[in-house]
Amino acid sequence: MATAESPDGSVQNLIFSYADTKVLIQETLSEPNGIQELQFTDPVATVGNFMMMRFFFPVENWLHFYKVYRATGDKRLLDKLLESARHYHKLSAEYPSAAQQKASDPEGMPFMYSMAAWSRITLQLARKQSGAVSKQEIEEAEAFLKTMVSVLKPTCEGNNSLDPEMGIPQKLADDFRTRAFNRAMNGIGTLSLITVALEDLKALNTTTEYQPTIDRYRKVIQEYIKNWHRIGYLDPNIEGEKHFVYPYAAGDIGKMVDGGKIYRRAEDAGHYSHTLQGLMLLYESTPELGIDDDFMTAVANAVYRSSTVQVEVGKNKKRCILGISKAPLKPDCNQLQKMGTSTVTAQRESGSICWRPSEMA
Amino acid sequence: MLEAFRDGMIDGLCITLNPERKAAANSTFDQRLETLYSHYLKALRKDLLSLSFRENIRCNRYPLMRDEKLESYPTGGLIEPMVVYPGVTTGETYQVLVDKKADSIRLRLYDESGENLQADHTWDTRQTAEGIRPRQIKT
Repeated sequence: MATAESPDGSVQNLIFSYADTKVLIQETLSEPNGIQELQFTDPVATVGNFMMMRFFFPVENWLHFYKVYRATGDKRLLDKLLESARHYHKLSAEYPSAAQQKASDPEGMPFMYSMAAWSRITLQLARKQSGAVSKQEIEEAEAFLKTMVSVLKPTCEGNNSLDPEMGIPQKLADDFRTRAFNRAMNGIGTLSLITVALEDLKALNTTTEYQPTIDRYRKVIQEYIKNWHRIGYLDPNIEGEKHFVYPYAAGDIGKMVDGGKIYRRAEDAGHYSHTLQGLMLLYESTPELGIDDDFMTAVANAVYRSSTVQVEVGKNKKRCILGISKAPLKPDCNQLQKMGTSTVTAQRESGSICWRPSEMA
Repeated sequence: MLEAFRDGMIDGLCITLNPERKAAANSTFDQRLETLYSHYLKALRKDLLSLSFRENIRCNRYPLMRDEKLESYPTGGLIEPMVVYPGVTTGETYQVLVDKKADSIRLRLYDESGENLQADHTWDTRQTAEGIRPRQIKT
């Protein structure tokens, strides 16, 4: 791909011009900081509202700030992340029990997304360009990390009740086996950001203080991915390509039919896009734990196929494209859920979703 | 982001749309962000080549600064040589042909008519440090 250099020396690709990039940054900066809960005079009401909020999609503004920062390196986007990071740091420090309860499963962990992302970017930058980050910024990142470790301690650490198969706390292992993947993946992604930020801190401070925590977090992430891969199916050869498909529910183990995996309900594209948002963090942070180039290519292949292949559906054999991922259009989730989208599917009379090569168009 | 892992993803996802609707779909904030981010991920996967027209023509591989141990690569990301050429003038039109192959990239620069060849060089893209060599991703 050809590129050109912008006036400030950064690399810009010619498909997305420097002017376009500037407009996109401005649009992103105009977004609110993404603090979710309503603010009441009575702090109990505020914390109560915080506990009700759903962070696992994740918060779209944080996702935008993170992605646009990664793609452009504009530090003003970091400042936007910092606004909410400071807010949730303060909340976690003042109401630790509420924060620990909120992060007691992967669905709640992404409330720390902005803290984790800001800490990771800041410390990563400090390692790469020592002059680019101030001492105060490193100290603030360390404070965020200490708070997040404290928040996660009752959920991820300890050896009293470990799952014999996974070797992580029993309650968390049970959660991995039951919670829908799309609900959990951004929490696991957030954990991967925290893990590599702790490794950055370890390198900067030449300390081994956090090594046991890092080891445990890596174990937790690895066990989650192993379980997801075990329930899902990496088809090694659909027209010469690898494809990864999985069900909506973690308990849907599926069955093999005609060389393909059938689930009661294959993941639909809308939910798959939330899973992808978590995968993005895992790919960038801890690819060695199983979300690497090859695996992401298998995911892309599966989504591409479900977006382009036509099948006949139902008694009337209506022909339609299986589904469509988030780009370019928002999916019609109701329709997609009826159809199933993460693999080549057709709807049987019973309403269950299955995969049959013979029904492909 | 999936465009980074399978070329043609964006076009594939627009397969049901006519050109006008496709353009409209890709003009939204979300879609432009996805496009930009997918190019970032391509760079992250060390699959980005740069040809820059400066006082000479330079070929670079991005990201180019440091390896995973934060050590600088021997040549940064520069793929030698830097090629001498007549230069390009603001306001003038040129024809540029780029042939990208697995192990090489060839640039040909012509004037507007396409009759006068001003530069023609092929870089061996294997001449980079191990850590920033492109990976061959099968799609």
